[in-house]
Amino acid sequence: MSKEELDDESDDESEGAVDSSLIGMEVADTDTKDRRPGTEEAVIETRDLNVYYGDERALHDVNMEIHEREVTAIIGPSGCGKSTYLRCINRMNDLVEAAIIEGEVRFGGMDMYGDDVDPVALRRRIGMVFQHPNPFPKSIYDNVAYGLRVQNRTEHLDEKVEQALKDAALWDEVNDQLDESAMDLSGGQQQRLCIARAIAVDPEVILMDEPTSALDPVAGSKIEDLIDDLAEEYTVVIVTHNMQQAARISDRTAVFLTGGELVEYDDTEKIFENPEHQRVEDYITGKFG
Amino acid sequence: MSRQSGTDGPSLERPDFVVRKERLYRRLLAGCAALTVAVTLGIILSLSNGALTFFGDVSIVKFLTGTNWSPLVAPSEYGVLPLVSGTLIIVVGSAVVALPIGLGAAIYLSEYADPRVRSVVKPALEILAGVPTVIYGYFALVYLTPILDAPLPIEQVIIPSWLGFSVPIIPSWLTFSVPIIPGGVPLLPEFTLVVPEFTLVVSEFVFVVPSLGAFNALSASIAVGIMIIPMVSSISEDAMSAVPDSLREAAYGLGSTKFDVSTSVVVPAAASGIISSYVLALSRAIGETMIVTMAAGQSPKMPYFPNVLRNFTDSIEAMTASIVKIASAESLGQTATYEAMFAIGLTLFGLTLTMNILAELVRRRFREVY
Repeated sequence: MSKEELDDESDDESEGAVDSSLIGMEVADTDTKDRRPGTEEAVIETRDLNVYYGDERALHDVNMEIHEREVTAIIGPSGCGKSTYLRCINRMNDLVEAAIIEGEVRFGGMDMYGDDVDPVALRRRIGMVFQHPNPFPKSIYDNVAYGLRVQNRTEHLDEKVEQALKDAALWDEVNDQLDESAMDLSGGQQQRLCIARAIAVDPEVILMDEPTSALDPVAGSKIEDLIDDLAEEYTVVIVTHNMQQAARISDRTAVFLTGGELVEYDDTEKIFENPEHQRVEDYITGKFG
Repeated sequence: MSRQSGTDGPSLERPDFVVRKERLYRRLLAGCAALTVAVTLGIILSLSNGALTFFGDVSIVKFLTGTNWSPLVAPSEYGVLPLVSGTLIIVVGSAVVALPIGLGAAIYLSEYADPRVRSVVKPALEILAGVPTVIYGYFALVYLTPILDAPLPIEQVIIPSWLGFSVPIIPSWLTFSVPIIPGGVPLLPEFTLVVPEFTLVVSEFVFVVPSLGAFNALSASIAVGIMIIPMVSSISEDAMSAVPDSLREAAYGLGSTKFDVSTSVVVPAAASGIISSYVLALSRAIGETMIVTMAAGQSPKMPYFPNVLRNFTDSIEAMTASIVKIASAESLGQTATYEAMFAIGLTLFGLTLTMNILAELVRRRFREVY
């Protein structure tokens, strides 16, 4: 597939996606239960993924499938490569000059590291929320509208901004101050704004890199509730070092251990109650890490 | 083992000589700081003193609103506006050159260049700032002007005279272009223009862009522009490099290209630094003396309007150049013309001060804390 085709496809999907997302919301209201059914369909698949930073090997032959409309948590001790893995999915590691990536990351069946893939088009379909809230020093409105504007999708901008802020559970707090600087919001509000900014462009997948670790517990739990809602429409991959958080919000959990190795990947319940590997059990019960 | 407090350790008393040394350092450093303030105040005082004497002879209103400046030819006239206009023409011209190019260079260095390229290009750009201005002056006079006036690079645009002199921008389908004639022979109605390739009977046509004079504001402002590019690029690049990577990542994560990230995130976030660089550079252009004295000529005149391009092809006189002219004139004594120097100096100072204050206000408006 060429860059243009990838671009076109993302545009087509996004136009259709506004309606389907609204339908998804209604379903969510009537049909709430703890375990999301998921579609069992792999959206993202990594095969023999290796990442090196210079001489240092950050990921070690990672094979993993991420399923559509589920929350997949990635846990592990510091330096285990969990953020590196997340950043491979939308090719954010391209920005790190020393990073060498080997293996395949397949998104919708296509290798994202193929020669003809445009990382810009890819990132339009896979959004990202970072560890520290990083709103642009612009107004709240301009922050949410940013992605739509750079993608030239400015029809019905007001409605899309409002919807994104509503989906991010921020609308009620900021609807009378959309023109004020996003830098004046609290940390938790800023992080929800960053989530609104990411979902405003209607990505298919949202990657979250420890989105609550820089927030206080109350703000953090709001984000967790939000992630739960988002999984009705989006595929969410969340890196966290908070194991309780992974247990609370995820459907599947991947445990990376030192050396960039994916040691175990299964249903969250299974991982926390009956892990296969002794090392995983040791990590989860707090014997190390 | 803990030591008993009090008597058995080294003396806790501060020796006298240390106290005296500290006091001395403090006074020396305070003296350095005070000296700069004192010098600034002294300059303002002496400027004001001279200017006040001058305003005793010539009314301040006449000085500020007069449109004729001829201090050395009797009867002397002291209208500062032609000089202010000359300075502003240079500022506008150099801004057109330096602000976009300087910003572009800064964006390249901060966002695009890989570290090796940056480590070579940045110092090279800063060398430009170290070139003595007198060199820029003769560069403009000896090289730029002939190049701009040479037969090939610039074509003279001629339009039917019934459109009049007053059309600054002409639709291209209305114009003819003919190679410039060295020396710039003016075209008059019913004038036959002979060029090597063909003969063209030009009737009812006038020049819109006159040929370049030996002294002209165009080459002077280009040279000033080149001189201030490093100020713009260096300070802007520092401001852009200070924009945290987390903002760039956020923008990339939303599907931005490098150009989107540079223009819609990094530049706005660095706006306060960029504006500072602009103001510093333009203040420098206002105060620039050597280049404008050498290359822009010494003919004070009010700006042409609406045929604004003529302002650049003609010779002008900037405020700084007029001070040079008066200062190098022989034996003026305590005449009004001599005192006029101080009045111009004060006006110049007022101009840059106003700019800096305005810039500070704008900068505060744009300042972002990440």
